[in-house]
Amino acid sequence: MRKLLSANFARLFKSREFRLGLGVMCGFGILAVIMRYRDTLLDPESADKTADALWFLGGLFISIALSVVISFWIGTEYHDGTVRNKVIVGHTRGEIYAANWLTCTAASLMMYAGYILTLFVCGTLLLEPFATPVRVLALSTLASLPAVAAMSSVFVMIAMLVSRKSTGAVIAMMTALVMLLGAITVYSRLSAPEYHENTFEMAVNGEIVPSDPIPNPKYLRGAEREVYQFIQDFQPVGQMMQFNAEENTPDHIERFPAYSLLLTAVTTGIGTMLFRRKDLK
Amino acid sequence: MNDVLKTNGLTKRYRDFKALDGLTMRVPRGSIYGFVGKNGAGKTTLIRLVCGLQFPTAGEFELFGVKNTDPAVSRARRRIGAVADSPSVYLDMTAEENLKQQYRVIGLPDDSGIGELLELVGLGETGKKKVKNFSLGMRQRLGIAVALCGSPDFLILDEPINGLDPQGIVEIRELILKLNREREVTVLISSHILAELSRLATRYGFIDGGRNMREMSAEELEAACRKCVRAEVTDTPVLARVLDAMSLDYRILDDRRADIYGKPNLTQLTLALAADGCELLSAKEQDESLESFYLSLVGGERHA
Repeated sequence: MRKLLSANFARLFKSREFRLGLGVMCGFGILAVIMRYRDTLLDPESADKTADALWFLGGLFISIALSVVISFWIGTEYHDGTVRNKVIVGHTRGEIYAANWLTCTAASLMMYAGYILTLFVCGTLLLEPFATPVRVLALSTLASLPAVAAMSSVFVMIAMLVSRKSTGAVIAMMTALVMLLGAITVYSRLSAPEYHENTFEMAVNGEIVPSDPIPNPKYLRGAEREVYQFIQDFQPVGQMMQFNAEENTPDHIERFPAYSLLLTAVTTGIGTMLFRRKDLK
Repeated sequence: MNDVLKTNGLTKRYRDFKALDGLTMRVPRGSIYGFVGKNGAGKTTLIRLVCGLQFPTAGEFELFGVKNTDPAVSRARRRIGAVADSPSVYLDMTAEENLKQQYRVIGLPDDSGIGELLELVGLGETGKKKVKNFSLGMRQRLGIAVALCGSPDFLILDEPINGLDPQGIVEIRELILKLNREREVTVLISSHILAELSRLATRYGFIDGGRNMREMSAEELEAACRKCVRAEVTDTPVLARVLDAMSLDYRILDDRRADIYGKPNLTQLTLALAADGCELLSAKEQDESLESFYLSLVGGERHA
């Protein structure tokens, strides 16, 4: 395993995909601060002058970057046939899968750290100091790391089970898009107001008068709301969406690491089991 | 344990197609085993199974005495090097980087042998050239170099001379012979280029339709393929008597024809036959090549 990790990391640090992914995440951090800085110049009165709300923006979009980096990095092993060299010299399938998972998860965390560090440095230089206490930011960031690991696990599973590099990349990117769009959709349903406020009605005399709030038919209630909330809490991009939208301290933050670890365990378990049986032509 | 590899009724099925159908063979330690078969005969499938890239549907094999069902087979695989299918090399790396990568995978602490290995396969001058810009022959050589990382005891090469130029073929042949003679590496080479195999192999296994047709030593094959004169006579019992008296090997084909091995003196033979009242009607030199021997094994009518 140690040997595989040594080989994997040596290849990772040389790989164009990883360097590009890291560059994109750092660039995204810089861009986010510059855009916010521009807003403060254009609208000094009402624009948010801190980078607090940008802290988890990178976490929201990292799924797209990870899907590309991981599928291409692992896909190269199939495309060039080099995964066979590992099996031929006696490494077990379980070791190969675990080493790839560890490498990709480390790469994912490095990309995530790249975004956060860039945002922190640029935000400190260009914007006002962070309003959220450092301790809260640190704890929230820590709680979001399992979500990044879970995203990585999903894409590692796809890349390890689909032998064609291009097909694997397409499936991974589609999955990332579905996760992102799913999180946005579920969030919009969950954040729908229970009542329509500021409504008016016509009185008997024909006069328009303010009415009582009208119940919103799109508001999720009961079991349906719980299911939506569970989906949003469970899937890692949904967690990031909540970190991003709820001022870095989501309501169910304590559940997130457990759900992410569960997703990681399930995808890694399934991936390892199927990879053990896979024909490596 | 004198066999490096032993298979017993090895079968691999892809849905309705049997790529291997009860293959039983053994590769003795120290041999160069020529695994002969046409395209699709099951050669590559066997190599994939032995290398652990695929799993048998039925049957079993032993690698260095360890059964494929034993988890210790992974440890036994540390003693093999293989080029299965096409060469497995990173296209975006140089030859040297590829070998360094394989050294890490194997866990070799010192990569000082890489230069020597590259020289050995004739890639010492490739420098910073990426593998994606290599010719097929260069990739094939690099694949062999990767397989040689870790100094394997058993080298498995699937069609190793594919894509090589004539000089490359000679160099790879010399390399295989050198590894076998000097380092006592057992080699399994699959090929359908029989003439090339015949310059290397010490043992042969013929396969067709996933089944092994025959295993034989190089000496046995040479005997089966040796030159002979096909003689047509009026009385084969007389011919047999005369040939026995002349100490010549022969094979009676029917009541009028026989194959006489070696180079008989036809004048002496004709005179000896005439003395016993037998006429020599015709004599034609026959040379059964490796190809025709293989075709006769797998059934010539299917290859007509």
